[in-house]
Amino acid sequence: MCVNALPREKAGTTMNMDQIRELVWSGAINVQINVKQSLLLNEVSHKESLVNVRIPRDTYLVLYLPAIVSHLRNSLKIDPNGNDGGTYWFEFEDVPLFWNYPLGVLYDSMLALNPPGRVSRDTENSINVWKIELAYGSNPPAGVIPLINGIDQIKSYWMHQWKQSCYILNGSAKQVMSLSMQDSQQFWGSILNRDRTNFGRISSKIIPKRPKFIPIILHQTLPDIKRIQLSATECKDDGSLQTVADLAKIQFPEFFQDNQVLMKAVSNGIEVPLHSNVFELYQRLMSFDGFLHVCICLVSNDEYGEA
Amino acid sequence: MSGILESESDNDDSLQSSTVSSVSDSLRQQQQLHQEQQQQQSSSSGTPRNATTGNLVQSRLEHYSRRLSMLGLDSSQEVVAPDANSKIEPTNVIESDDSYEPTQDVPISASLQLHQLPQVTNRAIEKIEKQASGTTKSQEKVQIRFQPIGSISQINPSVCKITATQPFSLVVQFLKKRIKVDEVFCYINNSFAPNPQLIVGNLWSHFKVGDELIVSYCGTTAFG
Repeated sequence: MCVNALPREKAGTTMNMDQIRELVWSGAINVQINVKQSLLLNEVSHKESLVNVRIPRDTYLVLYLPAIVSHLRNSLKIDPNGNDGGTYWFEFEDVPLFWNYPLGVLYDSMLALNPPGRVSRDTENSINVWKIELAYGSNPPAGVIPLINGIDQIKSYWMHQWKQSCYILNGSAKQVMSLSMQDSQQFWGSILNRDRTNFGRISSKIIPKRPKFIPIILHQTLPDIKRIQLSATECKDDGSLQTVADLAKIQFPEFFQDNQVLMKAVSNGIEVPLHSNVFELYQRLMSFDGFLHVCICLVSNDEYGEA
Repeated sequence: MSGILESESDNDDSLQSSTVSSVSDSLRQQQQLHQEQQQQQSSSSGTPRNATTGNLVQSRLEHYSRRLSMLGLDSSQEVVAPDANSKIEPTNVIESDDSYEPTQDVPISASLQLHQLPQVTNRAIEKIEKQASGTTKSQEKVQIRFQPIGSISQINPSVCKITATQPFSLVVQFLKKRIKVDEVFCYINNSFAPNPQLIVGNLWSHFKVGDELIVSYCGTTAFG
């Protein structure tokens, strides 16, 4: 399977936590980056205007930007050493991609991914490729955070995401602030070097056994794309466990009608059961920024007929 | 307006008089002082007394311009600050001219799914879209309290209101206009810098203290 994600059948009781984390960590997407025509030098062949790269789901797309630009340096009009105040960004079918969400989340939400549909398109002789575009200009579209300080900016953004999730989990950002210099360097290093051991070791210092709240971002995918940040408790007021369905019902009551559920919860490219407890899901499927990202996707007509 | 100036001059030691009650009054005083200083300069330059007066006048002028800028006299396009000539209310309202909502259009290939949905889902989506267009009109507001860190100027009044559906970037924009800086770093609860796309209402409901979202701001990086 090309768009690597958790195999649905295996995610049940037979797998332990570590195996699941390993699958989440190594999930990846084949991405083809095409340069916008206006940025290309004349006489550049089609082949020279694109880059194929396999990028982990659980990282920022922009971390690959320097490599992508360097690969295309002979085809681009843009002077790599120039200082015209411009910034790069990515688009999918003319919709800008916000680099500040994990790549896998962008993929799932931009495609309003319905996992069975993707699997049925996979064949032995073809691979799934996500085709996106590279754009450049001094005025990036609304919502795109301009990249003005390279990798330091990305690191700082990521650290603040962790401080925020730490605040939600623990009630203060103390656990992140009091990481030793070595730990915080290794923490960021674990993202750059895809080092799951260090990532797990340091993130476990931040995530408590009994969290106050659980940091979750719901991504509405249709009829428009919208992100809703939530702080969910592990248990409801009546003491029962809080489930994904409980949260979704509050935000999208329209998708829950009588006995029919019209939506699916998708995280890391797989459909997760709506009755999963939010903290259990967080421990298994949380992203590298300390949040659990869940895309709200819709049940297709065919599936609805079967049910 | 006079209210602000009076209360400010009260806790300002560098001002000789605390009776400055309006911009025009204070402006006249500045001019007088300036003229006096010029006369002194032309008659007896280089005396110690002259130097101190000069410093005093300069510091007063600086102070004056600082306070003028605090009043937010210049008009802004993206952020509508309350008119300085209108009555000052205890809280400010942060508003944007265009009702920018932090939503994105769906890419074409994903929108194709909309044609393959069960009838009942289509009806649900219609309902959601109707609600979405309804909520843009809603004016539910949340309160934000600004706290300066370090030498950056204070915003007055420090409590502002903003429509709950606006993104946090608007708060930053407002702050920049208000205190006339090109760059400002904002932190929630002295802990973290929020994502500018975040909806203020979301932030408020997670991180409010009492009834207010505490936003501390600084001219340089304060919390990493």
